[in-house]
Amino acid sequence: MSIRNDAWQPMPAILLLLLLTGGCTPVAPWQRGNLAKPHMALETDPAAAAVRRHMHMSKEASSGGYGSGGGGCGCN
Amino acid sequence: MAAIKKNSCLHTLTAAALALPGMSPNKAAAGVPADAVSTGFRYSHYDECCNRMAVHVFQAFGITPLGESAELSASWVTDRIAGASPVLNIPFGRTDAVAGASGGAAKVSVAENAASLPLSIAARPVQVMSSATIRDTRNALDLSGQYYLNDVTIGLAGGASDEKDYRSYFSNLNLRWELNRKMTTLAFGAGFTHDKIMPTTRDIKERKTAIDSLLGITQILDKNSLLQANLTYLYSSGFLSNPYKKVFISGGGRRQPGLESAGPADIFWENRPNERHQWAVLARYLRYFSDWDAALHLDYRFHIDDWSSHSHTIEAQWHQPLGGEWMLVPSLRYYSQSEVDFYSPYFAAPRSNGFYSSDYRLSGFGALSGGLKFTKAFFDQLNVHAGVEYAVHKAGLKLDGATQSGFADFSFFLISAGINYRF
Repeated sequence: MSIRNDAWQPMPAILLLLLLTGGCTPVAPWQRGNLAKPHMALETDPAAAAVRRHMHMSKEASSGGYGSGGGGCGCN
Repeated sequence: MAAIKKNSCLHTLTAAALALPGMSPNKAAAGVPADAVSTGFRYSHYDECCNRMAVHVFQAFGITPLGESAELSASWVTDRIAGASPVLNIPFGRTDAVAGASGGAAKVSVAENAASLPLSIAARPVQVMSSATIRDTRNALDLSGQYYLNDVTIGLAGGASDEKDYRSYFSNLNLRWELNRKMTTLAFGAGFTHDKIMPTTRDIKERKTAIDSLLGITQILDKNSLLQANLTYLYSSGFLSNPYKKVFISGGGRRQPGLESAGPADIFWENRPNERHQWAVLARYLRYFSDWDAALHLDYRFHIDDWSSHSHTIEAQWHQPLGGEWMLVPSLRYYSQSEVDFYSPYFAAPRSNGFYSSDYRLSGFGALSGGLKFTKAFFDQLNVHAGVEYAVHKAGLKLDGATQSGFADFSFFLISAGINYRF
């Protein structure tokens, strides 16, 4: 079992994305009105997200990224 | 009145800015505890083309505050599963093995581009489906609690999932730490899963365990955008094979340890390694557009494992308010994965390490889906929603286009409707 060398090609772009967070501008609490809108929540519909992630887990070989969750074979 | 309004504003401000990965499916916000009891119900229907699998999903969930600094949430899901599923692929010249291989009445289909298979044994492979008698019900309960300190939130969750051939127990602990004047939130998570596998068509009982961990950061970039980046690691061990999938191995398989005959000559139960290490990096970017009062959600995930597979997932959602408390959410998702190193539609010769799978989910393929969802809010308490998603799952949609067969090709749709109520 091994990891393919070319599989790491996207990593520079991901690291660049992470570095961009260092360039953010200070935002005071009273300036966060737009960020507070319901459709700016990271999970606007957690129940729908749970169904879709279980569906993807059952039909694809990948999982992870969104945190723990569990349960179910998804064998068929 | 002013105090109530201020508290509500603070709640939504903090919730939106500091929301973190959904460790619990009914966790709608993070950063501050729930200030009211809320509950919801949801029905979804998943349906694959060509008379394959169909699933009815019923969900119920609720959250309640416990004092001023804690909350408890619970969710229940029932899946009713029915249909047919691919079992294995065999050379066309060996269709005599079909009846025995499928475990019952079988349907055989020939892969569209099977002629391109680089196999030395002659003839086109065919896909053998199970009979359409797979029926199961899965029930799962998930409980979680959150305790909020000044800058730290501690979450503990656990649950169980039960179906007649599979039982799973899972738990996780997560911590969130707000810093940098609440512009930055760090997340740490760890989870443990223990599963029992009791396939209905085999006289075996197996176990597998998994531990997972998460390291994440959510950063407010400016007054209209934020970014979240997560790194997760998952280690699984034990019985990682699919207990219902078989493989065709031409000659010699019976002499390999670890392989179990599945009836006819050259047909065996699939055999995967008993360990797997998986890593995923997820980046989520959210941007608010004032001119349209709309929000763009962009997700990118890179996944890699030590079975020599990797994948890319990109997803975009556009949340567009329409007035009158209506919201329209169109979405697109693209997924591409490479195959694991022990996958083949079938095997022309035994492999040296004894690992084999012809499960299409471990093959190289791509998937493209599009969805549309409407929501309507009433009096800031009631929310109803309905949506549809259609997906095409195809070997030819893989990123570099190289593919071994069309055995991963199918389509499906998912429709859903639900209601949330806040007391």
